[in-house]
Amino acid sequence: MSKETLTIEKLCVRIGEKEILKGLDLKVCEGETHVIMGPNGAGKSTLGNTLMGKSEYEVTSGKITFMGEDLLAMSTDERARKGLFMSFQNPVEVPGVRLSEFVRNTCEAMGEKMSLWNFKKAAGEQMKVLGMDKTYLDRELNVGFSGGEKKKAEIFQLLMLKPKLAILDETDSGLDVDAVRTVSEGVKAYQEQTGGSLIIITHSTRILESLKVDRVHVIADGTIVCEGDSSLVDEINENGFEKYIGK
Amino acid sequence: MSGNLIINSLVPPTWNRLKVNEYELPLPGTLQQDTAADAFKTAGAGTAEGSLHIQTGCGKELSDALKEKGIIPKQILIKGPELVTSKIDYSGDAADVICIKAEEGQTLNILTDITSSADKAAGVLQILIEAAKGSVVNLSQLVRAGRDFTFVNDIGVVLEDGAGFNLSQVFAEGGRIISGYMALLSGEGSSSNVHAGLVRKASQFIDMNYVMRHTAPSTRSETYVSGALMEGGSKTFRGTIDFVKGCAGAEGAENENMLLLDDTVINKTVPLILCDEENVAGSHGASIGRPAEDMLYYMMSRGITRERALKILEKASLDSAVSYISDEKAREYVSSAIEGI
Ligand SMILES: Nc1ncnc2c1ncn2[C@@H]1O[C@H](COP(=O)(O)OP(=O)(O)O)[C@@H](O)[C@H]1O
Ligand SMILES: [Mg+2]
Repeated sequence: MSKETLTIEKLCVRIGEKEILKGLDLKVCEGETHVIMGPNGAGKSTLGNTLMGKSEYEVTSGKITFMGEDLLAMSTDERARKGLFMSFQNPVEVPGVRLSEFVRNTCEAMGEKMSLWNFKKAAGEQMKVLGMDKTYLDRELNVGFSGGEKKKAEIFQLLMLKPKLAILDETDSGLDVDAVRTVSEGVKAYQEQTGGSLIIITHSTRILESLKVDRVHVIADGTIVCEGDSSLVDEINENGFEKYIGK
Repeated sequence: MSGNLIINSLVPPTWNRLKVNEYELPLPGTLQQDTAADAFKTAGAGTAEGSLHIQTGCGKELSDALKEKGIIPKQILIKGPELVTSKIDYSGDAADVICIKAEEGQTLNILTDITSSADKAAGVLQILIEAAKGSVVNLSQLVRAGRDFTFVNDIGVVLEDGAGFNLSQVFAEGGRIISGYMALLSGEGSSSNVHAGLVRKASQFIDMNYVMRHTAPSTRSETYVSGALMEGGSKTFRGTIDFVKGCAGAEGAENENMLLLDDTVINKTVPLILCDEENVAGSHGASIGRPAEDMLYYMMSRGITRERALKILEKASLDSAVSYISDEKAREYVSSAIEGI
């Protein structure tokens, strides 16, 4: 049996007074790719942010084990250093901080000291995978980036940081066909380079085309209502979520 | 001299309920002079007795008090565009009035680096600038004084036809900073560009009063403040664009971009656009309290500690002011200085 990277047991989460996740279970093993689908407002981003440790997401009960350790006891930055990564649905703009400066800082935080020369070289190689121009390194982090550019910058960081588990929160939403293909290439490169695990939150099959999907989970109203293999993705795309809601 | 000076006053004083009309400065009894003038001399500039009468941002009460205390204005003689770096270190209570004239068509590059070796003290630096026709004065200021030091930075500029004044200010350290700026745009097509970057934490504060007075046609002013506040840091910014009758075609813009990193900070802004002329364009923009928590979360989600993320954001607040320093040597000087703060 392969090693468990992430185990979520009976997770309940609320924001303020509102209960959003209501007893969610999920297990992801080393090198596996899981897909999470579900209608808007189902709690998908909440799951990602809870895993990442965003402060307003209050875990009222349940347990999360990551790489054999209690994830909930760690701060956000500790989780990242343990090998957890999330590609944000809406990456925030950080004026005044250049992409290169930021990513160098993140690499350093991960314990990877690189000379400027080696950093530029490594960055250049990963940007090539994503068809990103090197001039992006000098731009302010996400400032004025188009939707597609923001998502590519997220995948660029995924490739630089090489986490054990990456959560991609609608990384493909709102992108044109070519951009989705590029991002998908980037995700594939991550898998090939690191053998890491993936949780892909998506509404479409396109980002999954070049990936081998191990398991598909459907979230509705804060719990997993249906699970299956990759054929479930096509089924949902054909018939929608109706069948699973209010079940 | 008894009692406190009332400086950095807003005209007209209409904002009483916010208690932001002015700043009350307890000026020390005795003040050394020539700390700044000597620093300019060390930097290779000539000095002579000066006599410029120019209104400043801090205002008349400060100018009068300095005169009363016998502070003699010193003219700084600078010949060309070669950067003059004046390293001003305060070892006690001190005040200077520095006069600078840019001759017709001349370009001057000046950098003042303010430090303090005496902590519990106050330094007053008044800089009066006359920019003749077509001249350009680039003044960069770095303030990194002690945590218990009071620094009064007071600037007055008069601009003739086509003259330009570019001010980049980096307020990195120093317990109390009072900063005044007044640009009299009295020459047709003259311009004032101000970029101020500030970080205030551990109960430090800054009180700013910036007045851009447009009296001539087609004058332009741009004032940009960016900063980060945390740990009880506080900032008051009064920005007045004053369009006086006769300044047709003038344009004035002020913009603020403040990052509030926790809820112990005080951030006050008083934008004021006074208009006595029809054909002008004035604007105020602010993105205050940007989603700092979201930025920190994003940065931490990539493995950066909260402390380090705060440092990165602090530096970013100063960097935008640094990036507007046009003289390369000055830019590098300031950039490497804030690296270590
Ligand atoms: N910060 C927040 N404050 C209050 N409610 C929130 C917040 N974030 C999400 N929610 C609510 O939680 C529910 C789930 O949201 P989310 O996890 O973003 O859904 P999904 O990503 O599946 O579309 C929604 O009803 C949403 O309105
Ligand atoms: Mg979402």
